[in-house]
Amino acid sequence: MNTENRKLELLKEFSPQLLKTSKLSMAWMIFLVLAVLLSVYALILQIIKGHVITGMRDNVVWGIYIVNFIFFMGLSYAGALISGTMHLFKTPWRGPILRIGELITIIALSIGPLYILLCIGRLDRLHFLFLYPRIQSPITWDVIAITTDLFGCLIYLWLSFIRDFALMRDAAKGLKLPEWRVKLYTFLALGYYNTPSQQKRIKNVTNIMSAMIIAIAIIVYSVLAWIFSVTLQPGWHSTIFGPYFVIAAVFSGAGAMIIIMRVFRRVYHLEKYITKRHFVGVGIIMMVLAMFFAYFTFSEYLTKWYGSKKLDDDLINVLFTRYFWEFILANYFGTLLPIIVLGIPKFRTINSITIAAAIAVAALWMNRYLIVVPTLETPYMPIQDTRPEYIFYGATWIEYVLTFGGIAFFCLLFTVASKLIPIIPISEVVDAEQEEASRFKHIRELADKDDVKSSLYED
Amino acid sequence: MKRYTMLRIRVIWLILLVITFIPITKVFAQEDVFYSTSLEISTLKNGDGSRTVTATLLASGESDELPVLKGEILYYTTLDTEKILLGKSLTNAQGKTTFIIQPDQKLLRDKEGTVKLNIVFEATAALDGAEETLEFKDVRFSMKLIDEDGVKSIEVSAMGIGPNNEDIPVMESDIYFYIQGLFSRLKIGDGWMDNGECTFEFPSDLNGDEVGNLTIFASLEDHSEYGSAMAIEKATWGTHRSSDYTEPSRTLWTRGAPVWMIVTLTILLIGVWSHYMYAIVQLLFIRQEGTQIEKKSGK
Repeated sequence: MNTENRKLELLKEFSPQLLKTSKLSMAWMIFLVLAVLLSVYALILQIIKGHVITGMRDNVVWGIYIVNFIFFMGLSYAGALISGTMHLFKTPWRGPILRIGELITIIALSIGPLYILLCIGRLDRLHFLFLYPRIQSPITWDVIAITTDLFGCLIYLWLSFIRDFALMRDAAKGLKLPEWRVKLYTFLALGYYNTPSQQKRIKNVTNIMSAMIIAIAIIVYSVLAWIFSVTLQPGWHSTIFGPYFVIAAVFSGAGAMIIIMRVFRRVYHLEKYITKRHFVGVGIIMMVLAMFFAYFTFSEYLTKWYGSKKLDDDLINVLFTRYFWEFILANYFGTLLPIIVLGIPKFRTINSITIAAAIAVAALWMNRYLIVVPTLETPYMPIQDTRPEYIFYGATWIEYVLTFGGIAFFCLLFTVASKLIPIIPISEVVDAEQEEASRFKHIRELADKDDVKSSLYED
Repeated sequence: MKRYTMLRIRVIWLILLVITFIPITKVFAQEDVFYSTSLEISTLKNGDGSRTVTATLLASGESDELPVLKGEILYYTTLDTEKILLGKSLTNAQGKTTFIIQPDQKLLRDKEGTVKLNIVFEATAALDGAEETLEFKDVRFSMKLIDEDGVKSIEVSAMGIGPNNEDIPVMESDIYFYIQGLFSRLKIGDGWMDNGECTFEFPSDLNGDEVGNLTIFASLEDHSEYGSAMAIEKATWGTHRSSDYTEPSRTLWTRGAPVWMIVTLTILLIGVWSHYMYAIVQLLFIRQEGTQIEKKSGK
């Protein structure tokens, strides 16, 4: 079949998700908007009354805001890394799930840094960070890194969306799209008409950017890890924090990708495209990362425990007493479950993989909490005011609402994006189908040439 | 049947009672354990005329020996039936205590000049008492540091104190010389005391602290009549060798970033942003071509 016809056929198939919004879908979006509005209310309260209405104090100056920041940034880098790797190495089954990875990247990257702003007590001084930057400061590295990453991701995303934008522009009449959407697609398609030179350019530059995005994701998330590890705090001052953070990020990203795949598969009835093969494929990636994560975690805590430095001992004692169950969830359930579910073929069902992924994502959020909070509760210097609420951290409803608001905003942006552009990247799917067809054709030719038994290419 | 059941219940109750009361009887039995005490004592005459008396109080039970904390030790000078209290001190967690007899405190001497120190721990409700006696002849022990034309020497004087407070030179005895090291004293040599005097030439190749300060010790050790004595002096007699080590400055705290950091960041950022520029230029070419196509087709 002609590729253009195949694209149009796919577009026609996916058009209901772009054109119609069911009542349930509308209710879902209203719920998300209300959740976001509630978090805006909480934010206004926080700005008016100050940080005193959060659980953060002089001692524990970072709470779940910074945990959310690390978590969302991790999702973003994971999306970039997974989609970039799949594109670069032309993974045969990448087509239907590539866009989910790309959307995770950009949406999580838009939300993550907002949590930093929630942590800052004097927002009116924020611009000083840009006016008087100190290259020696890890915070400056992070600002540079996030800006660079955001730019790179936007370019990469545009490159990977551009062909579908052009398709939407060209099919606008047939689909009877509203005028504003036609204008939007025309602008975003950037005059792409699928000419051979344009095809060549887009392919070339997408390959370069997918390689870049992998490298940037690793560097940028390492920079985030170094904000912690360059300090001398117990639990943070670690040489393996860079790779540990990167592994944890991709692990959580793979988990989030599986959950989102499961949601869209059910909501948009994409069973034909997002198959068990995709769940097992991403699940195996998650399993391997779970093993690496377990290895890094064990290595991290073993060396600290064996070193027996007083403050490291204190921290490990806190983790195994006050945070015992959280520690078990984060470092045992969260890693063992994906390994068991994906490691034993019998357990590899779509539902079990999704449950394992959901537990892994929750465990990794908790892992970030255990990195941030117990360390701050184990300071080098005793504080003068020894009221328990100054020493120990507990998030308030404001912080929970803003956390939930972030998750709601993430879901809302995902839902809106899926209404603007097909969640299955049509051009990538057709490319992958063509690659697969030409691969089989090549094998068949070789087999015919070498007089290989027909059973060989049937495999 | 019912009778046997009742019997069983009674036997179980009896066993439970025995199990419950065994530890209680042990607790009561512990209170009956008796501890006897012992004192370990030593003394040292100091160069400033004072005398240090060190005592260690230990309590011994049937199978264990423990230091006694906050045990009150009394110090007496005695002569025949006369007994004068010099002072008292309390033991620390290791059972140890130190008492200084000041130069102006009077010590009772017999006709040969011998001093008897009676050190006593009086019995308490839980502990037996202990008592020890030290006998020695008192001595005036001092040292003088002499620097003549760059030649450094130490002169030590040791005079026994007679019954009428007269000086009796200490004869034929070893005198040891030390300097203070980081953790312990370092022996630098010894000399021979004759007629109450001893001279020792100080080595010229000893390192001191950062300005050459040294703490010097001269010591009379375990003399059969006078016991032990030690004099301490400080002098800038060490050869100071300046270290080549200079603490590296924290470049992170300077106004400008370290060069390596600027170079690394610049390379990274140029590398990344040049690729972005390349991608943007390619997008512009795509746009340009698209515009031409639109113009041709009249869109």
